[in-house]
Amino acid sequence: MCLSVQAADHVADPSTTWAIHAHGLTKQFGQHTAVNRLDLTVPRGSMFGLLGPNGAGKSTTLSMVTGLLRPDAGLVNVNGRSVWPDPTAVKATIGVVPENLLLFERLSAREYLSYVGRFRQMDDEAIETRTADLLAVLDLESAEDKLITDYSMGMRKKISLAAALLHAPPLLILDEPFESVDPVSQRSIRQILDQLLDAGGTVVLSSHVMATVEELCDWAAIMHHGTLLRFGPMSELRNGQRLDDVFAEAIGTDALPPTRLDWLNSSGSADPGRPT
Amino acid sequence: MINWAAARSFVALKFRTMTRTPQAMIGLILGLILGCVFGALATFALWTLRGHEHAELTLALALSGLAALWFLGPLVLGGGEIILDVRRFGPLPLSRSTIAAGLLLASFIGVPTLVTIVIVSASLTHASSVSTGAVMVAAAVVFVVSVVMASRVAVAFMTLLFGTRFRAAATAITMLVAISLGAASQSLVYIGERVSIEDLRTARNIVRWLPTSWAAEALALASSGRLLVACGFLVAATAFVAVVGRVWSRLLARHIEGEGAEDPTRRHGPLVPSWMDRLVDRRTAAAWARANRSIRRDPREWAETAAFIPLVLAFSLPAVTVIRSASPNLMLVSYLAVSSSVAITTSNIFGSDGPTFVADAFPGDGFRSVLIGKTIPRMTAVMVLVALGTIALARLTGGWTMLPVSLVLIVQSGLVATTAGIFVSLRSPIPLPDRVGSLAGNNAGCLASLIRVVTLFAINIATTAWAAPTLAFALLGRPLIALIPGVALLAASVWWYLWIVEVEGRRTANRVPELLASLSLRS
Repeated sequence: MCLSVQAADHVADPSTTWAIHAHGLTKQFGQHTAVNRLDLTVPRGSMFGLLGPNGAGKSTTLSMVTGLLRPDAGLVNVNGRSVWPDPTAVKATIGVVPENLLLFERLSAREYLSYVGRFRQMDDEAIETRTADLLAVLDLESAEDKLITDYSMGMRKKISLAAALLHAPPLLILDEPFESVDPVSQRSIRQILDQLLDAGGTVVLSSHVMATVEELCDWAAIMHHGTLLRFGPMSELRNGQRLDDVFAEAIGTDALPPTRLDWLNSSGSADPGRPT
Repeated sequence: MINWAAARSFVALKFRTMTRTPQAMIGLILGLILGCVFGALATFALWTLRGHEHAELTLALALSGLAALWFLGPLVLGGGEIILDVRRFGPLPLSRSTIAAGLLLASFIGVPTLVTIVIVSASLTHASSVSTGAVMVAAAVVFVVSVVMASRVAVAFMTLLFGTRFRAAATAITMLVAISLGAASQSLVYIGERVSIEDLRTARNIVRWLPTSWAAEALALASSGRLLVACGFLVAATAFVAVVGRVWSRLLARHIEGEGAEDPTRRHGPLVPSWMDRLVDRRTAAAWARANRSIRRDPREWAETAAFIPLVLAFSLPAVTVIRSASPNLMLVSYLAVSSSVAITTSNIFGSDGPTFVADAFPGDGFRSVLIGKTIPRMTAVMVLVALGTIALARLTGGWTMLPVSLVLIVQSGLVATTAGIFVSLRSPIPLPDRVGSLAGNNAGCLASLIRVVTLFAINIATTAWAAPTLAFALLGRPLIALIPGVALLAASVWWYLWIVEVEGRRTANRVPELLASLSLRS
């Protein structure tokens, strides 16, 4: 099924060649620096993968870019607009699937999308048509009257993605979009993302799954400890290597020290818990 | 700039959510019926008060009390806005002022607001002229807006400043206070009979300094024609609304634009205290420490036990007031407080925490360590609390001779009730809802409560039968001789507890899939 959504509802500033431009972005939580003077540029029309181990600062970065978390320092421009003087204007031009899926639990999928459309000031006809399309493509039709509270994690991801797509944004920002999603739905999501790219949109996604990023993205960045370690077009970043090797090399865990897990050698003994 | 179309959608969204399921609909209808009854009674009371010499005083105190309820409400309900959590609007292109307007409008959808409007409207019948009526209408509007807005600020504060754990603890403590007050109603009536008009005037003089009471004061003063002072309070109340609105706007910004996370560099204490390791084996100590930690972190774990204590105290108030002439034999029944409380807290230890229960099990020893580790903190906490109460009773009644046998009975019944609780818990686990949102669709309903009540009575009968020989000697005036069967049965209780733990631990290890399946209502 083909979506009737085109990434043209909200046209980004055509004078810029990038969808996101961040400079000196910094966020601290207490003594912990989650993101440290980050400079990042996401080219317009790209599928951009943000990689990093747990706690690297990916979600914090995406939250600051999408107007969900105010940075301590630095500037972010999205689609030619500075985010923080007026996050509402920027939110109108982007679709977000955040890390914490905060949904209205006591609504059905159809009702949820309907309210999201109303809050985005879309007309009723567009809401209805797009809701039907999205529910069909994301295989949520059979559960459209079920309350979201009874959804599985994968279904929650899908309904959150549907809400992010409803207004056909030129920039889609997805935090771990394929986590807990079944392979068939993953395929549908990829097709939707491809369609959005073909229409001139930009997609930024964070993921732990190297294979997915390697396959989908044409640009990528690797983060660790709140800083950007590698950044560039996928082909340049890989430079003939596999992406997971590049990743391991970048964050410095390409091999475990040989003596670190010596105790694993006793795993076949009768009492593996006893120190030798 | 407020987008009113979006703000109106908040109202529709709240109404839709409140009426989305049959359970929610029934709750709303019941709430409306109760609200109507309460509103009608209050309206009738206010109507009959017209022209009464103390009408102004009553109006001021009643409306101040109503305002106070609005601020305490978020605390009692855990401080979280379940229906329209502001964080859910974060990704949407809605300005702060639109969200504020939407939330404020949506606040008018609900039984509490409806009842408040009815009561405040009823107070307008006290207007004696057009001018007093005009001031009273203005004050009534400010009153309703101020209480609704201040309640929203309380919600925002609770959600933002304190974590889920704090809010749950605050709720549990407030509920305990409410239970204590409710159960101690006899004392309140006693106090009420002795309150004079002068006392009420003094109370009003204190309460009127609270900003939350200013609109109520304006209404009351206007009703008796004191328009100048009423206007003064009205101006102050309006200023209060403006300040509250500003605070709320800032809190909303914090919600929408992110809040601070816990500092990951913070140091934590040892997971298992060394004294536990010395007292029991390492596996049991680990389970015990984990149970202690979850009791500290999750108020649901201790609220049941804690709720029992004020209930016991409050319902025994009449006895306590005449305790000096009461028989010291009263101390002997303290074992029932232990067995009831322990029965409540241990009779569903698997059902309330099944998956973690399984995860805590150590290969090789079945569930023995987990059972001991989980029941020791629950059992000892209740025993210590009731023992302290019993010592206080001994001091009041002078029945020190009954204290040793009472303490033996406390430990004995604690062990028997725990043993029975373990048995019931593993034979008939009751699934609990996995999260608040699924309360309507996924729980065992009233059957769960019924099973627990029956269990409670059965365990009390069992502990009474076990305590009967000891009780018989004590009641016959032989407390020292009563210690002989008491200590013997205490030793038997210890043996029984350890035996059941061993047997049920092994049996459970072989039935984990079946037990977990019984907890899953979806299957």
